Amino acid sequence: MHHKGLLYDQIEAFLNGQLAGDARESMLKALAEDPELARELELRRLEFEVSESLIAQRIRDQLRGLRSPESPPPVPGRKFRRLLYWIAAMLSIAAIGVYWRQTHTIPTAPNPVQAPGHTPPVQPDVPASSGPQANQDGTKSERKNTPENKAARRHLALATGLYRRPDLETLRSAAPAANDACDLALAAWEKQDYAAVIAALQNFSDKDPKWMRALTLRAHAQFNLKRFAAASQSFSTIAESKIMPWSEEADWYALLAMLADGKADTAAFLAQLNGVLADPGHPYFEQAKALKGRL
Amino acid sequence: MAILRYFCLYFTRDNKFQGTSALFSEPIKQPLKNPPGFSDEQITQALLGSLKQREEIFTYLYQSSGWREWVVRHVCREGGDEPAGEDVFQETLILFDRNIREGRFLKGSSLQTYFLGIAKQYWFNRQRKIRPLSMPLEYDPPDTLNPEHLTLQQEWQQMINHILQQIGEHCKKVLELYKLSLSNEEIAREMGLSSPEMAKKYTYRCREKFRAFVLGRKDILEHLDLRLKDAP
Repeated sequence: MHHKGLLYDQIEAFLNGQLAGDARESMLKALAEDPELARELELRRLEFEVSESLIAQRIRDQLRGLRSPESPPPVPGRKFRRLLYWIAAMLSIAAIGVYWRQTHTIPTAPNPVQAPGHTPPVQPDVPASSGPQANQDGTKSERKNTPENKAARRHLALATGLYRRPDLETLRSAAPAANDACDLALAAWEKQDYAAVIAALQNFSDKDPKWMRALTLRAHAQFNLKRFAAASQSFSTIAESKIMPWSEEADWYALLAMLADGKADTAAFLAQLNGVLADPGHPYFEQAKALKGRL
Repeated sequence: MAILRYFCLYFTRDNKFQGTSALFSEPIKQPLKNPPGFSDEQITQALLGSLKQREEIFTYLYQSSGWREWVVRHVCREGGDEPAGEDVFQETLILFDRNIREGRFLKGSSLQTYFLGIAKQYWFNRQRKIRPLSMPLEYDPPDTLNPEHLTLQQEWQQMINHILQQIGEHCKKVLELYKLSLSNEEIAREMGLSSPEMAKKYTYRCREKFRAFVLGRKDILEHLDLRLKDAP
């Protein structure tokens, strides 16, 4: 990695026109003599071009947004802004009140530690009577998550506390279409209408190139609807596909879904957790380690 | 077409009438200004800054600089229409941004002169692809306009689009942020990763994934070899 890093740095400097004089001359000579190096250079050039096309696309998207007829609302006046601050303050007080009430009505569920910037986690269900188990697509009513014991409740609180509602904006296609199920689901996701996300993806084909996006969206929607069994199944499917980067994200979320579903003691959960812990390069290695410590 | 051009010349995007004096004036010579409070240096710094800074400066350049209006007027004057002008402004902004980031702007002029120069050249080249024009004497036709080169360029672009479809959204974002020279800390923040070290690891993985993908594709490698043979 170190050697490659050095090579990349030199090639990048060359491609960026930052090599001058002798350094540039020796690079040109090396390129003429070493076909492997020359190919490596072309690979980096291709990577640069791909990256630049992404940057260009972001600019196009932004300008398209600026051109759209829905212009941003006018800047509110000072009085109006003050009123907004007051409303925001009142809402915050109300939210704190609701939160306080909730934490005191479920005394056995510990307050999950939340990383800064994390969106509010899915709140654990108040114990209720059991219902039928959900099918895979989560369209039918699902078993209510009613943890029977203290450990299960703690796991549920831990999982929902660790869950982070991902920013799925990056899943948006380059040219969003009104009839594209994936884009419809994404729009519903942004409105936090999780049932609509699942409904939009109901007939999504696994042959579709956007299948992984759709499955990811559906799995998160299921988690947010507290259909943890279905979410666990969806995340596991993505994780098993080994398609990067979906599978690595799904490794982690499958763990959380299983944890929330009261499956922390199962062999499947342990295998999943150990799988992440076996790979120090896994993006969720540290989180998995911390999770293991808290179980 | 003439009516379209008339409207194109005298109305802005917001359909605000610009005044009859514009009818007889030379729009190109109208004074331009940087957005209020933004010097050339500040624009450059913003383009080299975070995603948020970049978005802010693009918004200012689009809405407040007067550069867009100038480009649209120029395109309309030179046989295009307003949508074409908007398109030229957009593509010019992309080229301008890249040139600034890659240090190709040598500060021999103001940024606005540089920007408008790119826009004029871009529109001229594009017109040339649509229909042949008589070339100005000072114009040195670039080699990039020969048909063989254009075909290769199209293939290259198709290949890039294909790769983009395959590498996954997260890696796409990582590659973009990396190319913008954001620090690992900034990448971690943008990607919602827990630490700069994670961002570094993630970036490395994505770049390796990209590399592995390309090396696994015979057709792409053939194309790369073709480029190698063409290289001077």
